[in-house]
Amino acid sequence: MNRRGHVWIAWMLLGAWLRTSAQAESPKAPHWAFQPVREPAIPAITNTAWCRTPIDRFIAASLESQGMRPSPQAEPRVLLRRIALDLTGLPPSADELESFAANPSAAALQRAIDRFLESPRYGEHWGRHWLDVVRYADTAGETADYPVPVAWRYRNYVIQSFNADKPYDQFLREQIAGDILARSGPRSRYAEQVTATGFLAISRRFGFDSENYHHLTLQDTIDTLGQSVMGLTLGCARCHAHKFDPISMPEYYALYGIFDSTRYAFPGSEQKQRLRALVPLIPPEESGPKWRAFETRVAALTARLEQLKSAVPSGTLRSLDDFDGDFELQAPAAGGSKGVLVPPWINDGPISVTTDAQSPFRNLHPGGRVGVQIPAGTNAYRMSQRLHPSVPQAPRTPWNVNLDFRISAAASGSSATPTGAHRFVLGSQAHPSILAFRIASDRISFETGSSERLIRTVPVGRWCNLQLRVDPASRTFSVAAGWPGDVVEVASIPIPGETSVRVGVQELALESVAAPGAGFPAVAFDNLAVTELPIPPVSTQASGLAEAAAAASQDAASIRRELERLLAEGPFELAYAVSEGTPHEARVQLRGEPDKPGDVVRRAFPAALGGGALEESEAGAGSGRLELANWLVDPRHPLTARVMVNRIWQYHFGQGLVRTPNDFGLRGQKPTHPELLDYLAARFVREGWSMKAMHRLILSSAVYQQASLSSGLVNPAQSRPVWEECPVDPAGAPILKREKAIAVEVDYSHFGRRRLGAEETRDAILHATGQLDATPGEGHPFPAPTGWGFTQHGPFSAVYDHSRRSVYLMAQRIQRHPFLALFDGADPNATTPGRRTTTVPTQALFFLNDPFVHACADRFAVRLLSDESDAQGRITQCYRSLLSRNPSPRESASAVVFLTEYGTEARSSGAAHPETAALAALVRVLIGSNEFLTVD
Amino acid sequence: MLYPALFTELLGRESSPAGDDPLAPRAPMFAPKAKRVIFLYMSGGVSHVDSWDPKPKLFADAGKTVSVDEFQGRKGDFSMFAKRPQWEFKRHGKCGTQVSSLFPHMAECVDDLCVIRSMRSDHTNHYEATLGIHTGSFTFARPSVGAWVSYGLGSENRNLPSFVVIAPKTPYAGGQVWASDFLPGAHQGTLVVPGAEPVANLRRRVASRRLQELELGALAQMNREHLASRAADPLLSARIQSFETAFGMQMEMPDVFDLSRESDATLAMYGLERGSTRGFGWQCLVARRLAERGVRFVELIDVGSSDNWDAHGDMLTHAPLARNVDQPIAGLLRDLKQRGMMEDTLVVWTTEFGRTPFNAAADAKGREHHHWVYSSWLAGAGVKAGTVYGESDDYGIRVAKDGVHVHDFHATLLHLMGLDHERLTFRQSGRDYRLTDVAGDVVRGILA
Repeated sequence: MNRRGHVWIAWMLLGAWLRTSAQAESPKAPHWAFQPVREPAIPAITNTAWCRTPIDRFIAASLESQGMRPSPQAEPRVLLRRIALDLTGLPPSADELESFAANPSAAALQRAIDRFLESPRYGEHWGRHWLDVVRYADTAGETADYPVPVAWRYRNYVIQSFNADKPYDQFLREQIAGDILARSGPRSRYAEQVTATGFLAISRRFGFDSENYHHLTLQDTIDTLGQSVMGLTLGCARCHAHKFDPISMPEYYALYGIFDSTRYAFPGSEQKQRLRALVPLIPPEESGPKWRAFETRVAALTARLEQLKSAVPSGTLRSLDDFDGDFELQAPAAGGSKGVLVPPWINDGPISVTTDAQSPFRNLHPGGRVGVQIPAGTNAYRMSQRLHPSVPQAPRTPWNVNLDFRISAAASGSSATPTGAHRFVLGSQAHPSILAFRIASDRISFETGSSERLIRTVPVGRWCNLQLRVDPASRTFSVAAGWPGDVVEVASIPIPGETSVRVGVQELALESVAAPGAGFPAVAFDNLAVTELPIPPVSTQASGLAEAAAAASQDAASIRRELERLLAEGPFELAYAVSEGTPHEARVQLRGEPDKPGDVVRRAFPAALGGGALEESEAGAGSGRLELANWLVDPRHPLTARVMVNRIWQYHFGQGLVRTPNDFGLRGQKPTHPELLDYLAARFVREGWSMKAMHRLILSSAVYQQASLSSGLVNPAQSRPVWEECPVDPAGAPILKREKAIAVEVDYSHFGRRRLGAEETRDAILHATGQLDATPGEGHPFPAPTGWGFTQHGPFSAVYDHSRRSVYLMAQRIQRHPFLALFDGADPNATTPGRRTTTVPTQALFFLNDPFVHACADRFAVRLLSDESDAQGRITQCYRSLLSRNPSPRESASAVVFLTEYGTEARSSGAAHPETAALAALVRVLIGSNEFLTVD
Repeated sequence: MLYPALFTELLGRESSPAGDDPLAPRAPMFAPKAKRVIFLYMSGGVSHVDSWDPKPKLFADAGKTVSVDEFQGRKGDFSMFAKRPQWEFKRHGKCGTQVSSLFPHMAECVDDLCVIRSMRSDHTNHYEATLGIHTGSFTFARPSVGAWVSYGLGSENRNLPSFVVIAPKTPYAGGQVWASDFLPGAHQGTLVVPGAEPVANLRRRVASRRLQELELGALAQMNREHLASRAADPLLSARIQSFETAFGMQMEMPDVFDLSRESDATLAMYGLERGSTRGFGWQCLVARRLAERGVRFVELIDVGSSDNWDAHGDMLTHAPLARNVDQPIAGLLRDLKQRGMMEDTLVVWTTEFGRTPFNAAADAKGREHHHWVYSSWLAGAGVKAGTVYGESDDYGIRVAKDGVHVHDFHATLLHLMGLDHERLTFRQSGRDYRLTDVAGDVVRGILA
């Protein structure tokens, strides 16, 4: 938290705190934050002359009731510097300050505010605030901390959205459901809206096989969504009913179902060292052909490399929709995880992913290691998924299906042939069973209405390959089933059912069909694919695609080079984002453990906040993210607007009106000015959720423009523990012991001084010494994905330096950026509601000795020496650049003495350029000064 | 001469801890046994059955099959082969505690140790187990135990950080291991990397001390004038003070690392060659010097996230790692004792988990991860010396008696420092967090 001095804090007794905070609530009334926003009357006050905006009337009323008076307006230079830093994170130039000081009119101030708001620097500064809240990082955070090369697109999306004054409701809808909005939105905004869902994709990954911990990633999504947008700690309800807020476990899993029906981009992990499921920044009709060309070329090059017995690069960006069906991604990890099916698969029953179920056929996927095994018996199972949104739902051209299966003997101890069967179903959302196949103990057949048509017999224990080619135009399909040397083919089978049903595949399932009283045989499935690409005939050899011949003349080294380039660049621009998965309802996970499933819960929104559930049609159509987004930005939602105006207030004043910006729940603090909070929330919505309008309102207020004359105690809040004030109750839960120790009184009778944050400090040093590169940053120089092999023994770790603004520094999760860690930067692992300001000697050592400070000072000194002919001119320029003001005559004189003395000393200690050394020392003195680093 | 004079005056002033100084020394909750901790962490998983936990039956039954219901995180019925320990055990000291020949020097110190043979962790993977033994959390990033101690007690020496970590390489889970996480940044571990510049920015970058005094003097002057025109504000004064402390640190830290005045006998005790900064001997000797100067929590990590105790391939890889730490740790214990520091220093030796007493193949040379039971030890202030606490079963597979979970271990450690683990809390996201989550009991049986 920033600790601006406008709050003076006293260690008070609980009673006193209650008197001065919001009026006590009646025990029956709902918690204040769950009640609707009610725009209050603007209070009547006596000191109307002071007020410039309605905000001031609320503040004046509270000051009057406390018998306090506001401070006079800050001096023009102080005020403009404050506004520049608050809006852009950079100090203003000396010229700007002087011209404003010469004519400090209200109109001139408004012009200056507009100028700062229009500057691209504004989005870089305010975007950083939002990136704090959404725990932005450029790495995934699992045990090897895999880099995410395209995460930056989301970071820049945030910056650009602030610059464009994107209405906050739209900003939220895009971040939660941008991929869905993009489908119906203008083509020109497609990429932007898809990129926005990086908010969800950057959720933290866990473990060394992070898909095994996907439930924790979803908790991170839900918890961050709760804290950032609603000011509620929803994550607590993963394992138990929320201890304080009215959020039940079923309500948590009702939200969980929404994100479990979502496909997250996968960043790679120790076990699966490659990126996949990145989301194209072009619509499916454009990405399809490009993807097919890309995939064909990659397949050809890969096949050729394997022919040459040469290693294939590991960081393979495999199929776009991650639907190669080979189950490799669900494979058990070598050192401890279990094989699971992860979204977009949804499954029920005794399904395991094992090496025993690996098909011997290599025509589809030469590198497979595992398949899915279903044990014999009567335990019903079902595994299904909706295909990636990029698969055309009603194609006109033929498409192909591949599936390998093996029937095993009946369960040991039973001699009877099981009469149950397995079913492979392809369909659309409206017609889930357009094509269906049955795999029984000795055969595979095709369902036609109520009867079956035999395709071929299959002996127990033999792997069989099934291939379909479906032609929607003629409403027929052909089938080939068998193994190398024995393939049965049947052509032009009419597709059963009504002709009005469009022949497309959107969903598929593998499931049990139990005959009465009988079980089914064990079965293994592998190499499941639905694709518009031709599938090579069944073979135990890696398939030579026809195109492989084209690569035949290249040698292995040149093939690998091309492959690495293709895999690094991809077929088109991709984002670390999300897309729609398989819509379904989740089960409660007892004690938060996914292998202890409880009841199924319908996707819905917490009742305490208005509730509501997905309509049946919505539940089948998609994940429910769009409905969630719309629910959040409904003006009747009690929290969304309140939480955001509180954040804007907090970043201007150092403390929010609610001092726990991520917790508006029962454990959070009550608003110090509840009516003002509601006034701002109502006005925010009324003015179209414009953040820039909110800035203009706040910055125009008398309360913001006050001087910071007095100071007061800075909040020692939690920098030191306070147990002596907390009596121990041996019977009670110890976590309730600190209430009265954090009692606080707020004082808006002056502006609160603050210190620059980490990014502001680095940016100010670069900017003031003329070293700042103002161009926006993009990606980071990560190693090429094809070379990735990061493990927990050798995790990804890097610091990339540049002289752009600090928001563009690479933020890593398991290893923090050393500068940002030293100066209380954001925590990239969890939402950061506000920065703390700590003071430690290692920060002072940074100013004294860090190469960065020295390099900036040295370069600036060299420039000053050539730009200015005498010491006086250099000193003046030094002050103007760093402190945006001229030195006083006394300061000039002191500086002259300093330069002389330092120069003499430097010369005697053998410095090559004593004059430069002295000037650089003066620059460092100013950089290290409190004046440079604090905002009055 | 104006500036240096002013500066000297500033330096000469007794540091008065400001109200919000997070590192100001604080009284503990109750009378502590220890004033400081030296935490020795062996990275990768030291085999308990090859070091501190003698299992005669494992010697006798080597090669026989053992059934377990989980292997490396996978549930199921597994038939494994008991694997013979690589090192023989013998009784040592007056107390007769058995230690293997892997650690011949530490074995001589058993009369000062309380060996815990019933440690338990929650996770079979390095990253999670390493995070767990340091933060009490096996999944999410949380403050390190050193940060909690610093938060609870502050620092006795304002020229030095309260929590110092000496590590030649980065461990599993990276800097999260010594992070302050949601605790104020002042409590994060200051990393010391053996070598030319052990602490970032500690070396004066200007040519002479006099030059730096001139610079600091000018800065102090500016900041005083700035402060004079404003009402007293700790935000400003704390920062002024931090430069004084930094200057002190710049003086005192190099002195910590200057081993030139240590006697040959002392260096020999740590097995350290004069002038060398390599190996655990340097780390141990510097730890003693930090402890002497009032640093609250010193952690030593022997190696990083690779080439460590993770002996999947061959148990013999334990031998050079043991040689690196054995004599230095024994030296440290003896040195603390002869200086009377054992009275108020707690020394902790641990690793993230043990290694399987069995393996999947009868002829396997290595051992896998084993978090069901493993060994650690405590020594020094408040610890029942010359004892063994807890037992594993006949093969060293499970806890047989008096299990000590990582949370219990942390609770005990805080207790010895005069801190109640249930009351040392920090509110974050609407919840009061503790080092021990919602569990942990002080292990009374190891308290003197």
